[in-house]
Amino acid sequence: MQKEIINQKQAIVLMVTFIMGSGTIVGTGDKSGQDIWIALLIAMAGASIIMAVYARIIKLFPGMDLFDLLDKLFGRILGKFIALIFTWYLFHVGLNLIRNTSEFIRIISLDATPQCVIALFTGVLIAYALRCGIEVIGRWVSIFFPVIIVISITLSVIAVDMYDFDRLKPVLYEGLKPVLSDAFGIFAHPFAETVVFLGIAGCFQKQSNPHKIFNIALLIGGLYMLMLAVRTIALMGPVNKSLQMFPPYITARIIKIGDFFQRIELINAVIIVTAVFTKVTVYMFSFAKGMSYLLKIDDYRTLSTPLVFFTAAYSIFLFDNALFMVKWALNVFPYYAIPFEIIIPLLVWIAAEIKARNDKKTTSQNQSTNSSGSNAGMQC
Amino acid sequence: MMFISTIIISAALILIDLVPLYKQQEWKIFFIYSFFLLFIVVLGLLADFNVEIPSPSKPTKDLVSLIFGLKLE
Amino acid sequence: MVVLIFNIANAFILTSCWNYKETDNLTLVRGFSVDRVEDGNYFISIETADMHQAGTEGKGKAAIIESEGESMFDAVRNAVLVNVPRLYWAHSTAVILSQQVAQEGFLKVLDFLIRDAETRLDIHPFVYRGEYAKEIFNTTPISAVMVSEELKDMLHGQKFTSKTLLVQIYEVIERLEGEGISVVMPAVCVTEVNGAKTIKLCGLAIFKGDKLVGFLDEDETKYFCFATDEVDGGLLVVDAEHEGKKGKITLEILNSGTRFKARYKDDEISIQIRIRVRTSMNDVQIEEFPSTDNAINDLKRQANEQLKKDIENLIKKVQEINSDIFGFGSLVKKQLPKVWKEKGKDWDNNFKELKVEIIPEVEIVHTALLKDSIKKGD
Repeated sequence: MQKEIINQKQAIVLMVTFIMGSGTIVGTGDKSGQDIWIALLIAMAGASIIMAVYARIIKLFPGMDLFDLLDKLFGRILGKFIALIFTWYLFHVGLNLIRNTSEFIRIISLDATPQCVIALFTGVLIAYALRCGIEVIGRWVSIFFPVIIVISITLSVIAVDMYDFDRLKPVLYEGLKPVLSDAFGIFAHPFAETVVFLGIAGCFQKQSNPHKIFNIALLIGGLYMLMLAVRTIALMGPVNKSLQMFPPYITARIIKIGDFFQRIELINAVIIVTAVFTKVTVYMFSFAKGMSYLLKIDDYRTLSTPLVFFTAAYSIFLFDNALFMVKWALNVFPYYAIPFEIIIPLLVWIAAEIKARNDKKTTSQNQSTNSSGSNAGMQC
Repeated sequence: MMFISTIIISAALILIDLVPLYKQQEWKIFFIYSFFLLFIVVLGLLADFNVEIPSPSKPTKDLVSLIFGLKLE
Repeated sequence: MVVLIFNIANAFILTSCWNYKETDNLTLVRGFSVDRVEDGNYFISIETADMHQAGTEGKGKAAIIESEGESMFDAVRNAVLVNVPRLYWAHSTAVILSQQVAQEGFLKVLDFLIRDAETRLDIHPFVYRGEYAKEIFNTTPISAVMVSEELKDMLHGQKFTSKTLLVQIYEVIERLEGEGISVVMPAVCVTEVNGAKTIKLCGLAIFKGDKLVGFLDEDETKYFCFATDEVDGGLLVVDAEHEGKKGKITLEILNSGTRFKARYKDDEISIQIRIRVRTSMNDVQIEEFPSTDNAINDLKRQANEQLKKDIENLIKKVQEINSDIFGFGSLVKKQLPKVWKEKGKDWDNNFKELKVEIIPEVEIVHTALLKDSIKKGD
């Protein structure tokens, strides 16, 4: 099986779409009210640090994904164990995302359609995308990305008449605490979620600069979220934002110019579903790789199909209701994600630094000694 | 409804994937694949009979509130 | 074979998707009124656009459906008993509450509208100034086909009068939940034009919380708009006096901008409102009113004084009703957050004693097409 490669530009675009993903459904935290933009900036600053760690890991061992790396750094048993935990995380978040999408579609329009049908046929799309492979996903995203960006910016610009920036005042009325709490939430979801890309890192072009990929993606994705948050607040105020189940979608409902250009929320819904679809695909891709590593199967593509459908089917049982879903995403997930987004990457990073230093020493001492498992990453 | 959907999907997957795998005699992936397919159909059946299946969201919520001492609704 | 199975499956599962609706079978709701009947039930009167004949006649015909239910949603669904197809709510533009419903609290009614996925947040709410809100659909609209459409168009026409206020439901929620600001909704009543009953916008309804506490008439509404920076146009009729001759001079408002400043001094909050109005002199009813600088400046002064007096009277009236519809409280919160933390808890009392200083600056940019007044020769 030949190695799949996505180039630097595709990687950036994929990551930006990934970041845009679920923030556009459930929105960003609702504690900080009109100060959400401060929370976003703080979260971006925090995310740039942890992303530097992710990028460093990829940079140290280019062409390898997390699972090969775990094997190499921690040995068979411990490596498998960490991989198992991490794969569980991928599975769980994938479940959540599929549920988010199906719940969103069900609430906004298809209220009489059984949820399982929506979920399973989202699964069909994801499974098909995964069978086509990461290259196709990369190309697909780079076609759709400009469309998403242009539509979003157009939506924001045409509504400029309806903005009332007075709604952003007063700044820091409730103090810094709710802002920090929201910043933590945004940091965990979606910025630090890019930890998933460690699972795909094997497909990055070797000469691409991971630091650049992460930083540019963070910048564009962060600015996009900033635009979305400010738009929501300036259009309908913090009160409505915290009241609504899906704030960014509702904003698009309000936007109109005169009588002829209105009811454009469906465009927005399409954007949301597209972005979330990309996100689920990335998660499922990593999940399939993790499973194929755990089960020692080379062909992750064939394995991915039943995994995706299993996830989609199981997502029906994930939450009792949508309210719990949104609360879980906003309140529980940030804490739940700490071990996967911060602790495991930090461990891997430290181990990787030591290993890289040792490798350098041994190669300089003994040219003929090859580091073990360097070929493992070749199969993407 | 879910049961029928899962049956349709499984039938399609058997035709697309399982038959070739059987012919190529890739037994390991064949069995894992069929195991998951069976699981999907069982899930579909359970969903139609309104059986509750343990979901990871409640335990994770409890775990998080235990570890961090948070009061989450 | 596989493709065939997939196609067949798709044809059944994906295309119709359970929520399939055919446009020509839809009955579009354009607006509805809510009344409370004796036994506590809600009585709704729904104005619908009948799409069945839309193709042949060019324009849809209005049809009124009435139904009753224990809750709003119940009443809405009971309409199915009267009307064959299910109503489609995404195009509703106006909801008219009866005075009684408004007095008992509008939230019980609007909750359904805000929550439901089909209705939108840009519906315009109205309060009917009269007995039964359903009367509104017995009137004949003058220019539009449907009453609800006429209502919406009239609201959008506010830039020519500034005597009403364009309010949408999400703004109502924002004002209701926000601190130091109260809800207003346009009021609507029935009048007669040429013997036919028709609708008229008559000022604003003032709420305290979600309960109706009073009304403003049309002129007061205009001053309310001045005090909240909502004026886009309209007229300013000045009782002018020039060299002993009295008469009315009407200024047309070209544009207007209001600036607010909240101050805190000696444990007392005061608010300064600076209103800049650019006008043109369009209707002079004083004989031989000269276009000299002196006369114009004098007119400006008189206009300023009058505007100031009128707005002050309005504020006094609203302070007696004790409902902060101007949003002075939220202004304080935005400009003086520290003061608000202290005073905001007792805003009801503070609002009553709030000092508001109004500084109007009327400018007369031009005198329309005439350079001078028309003089009567002998």
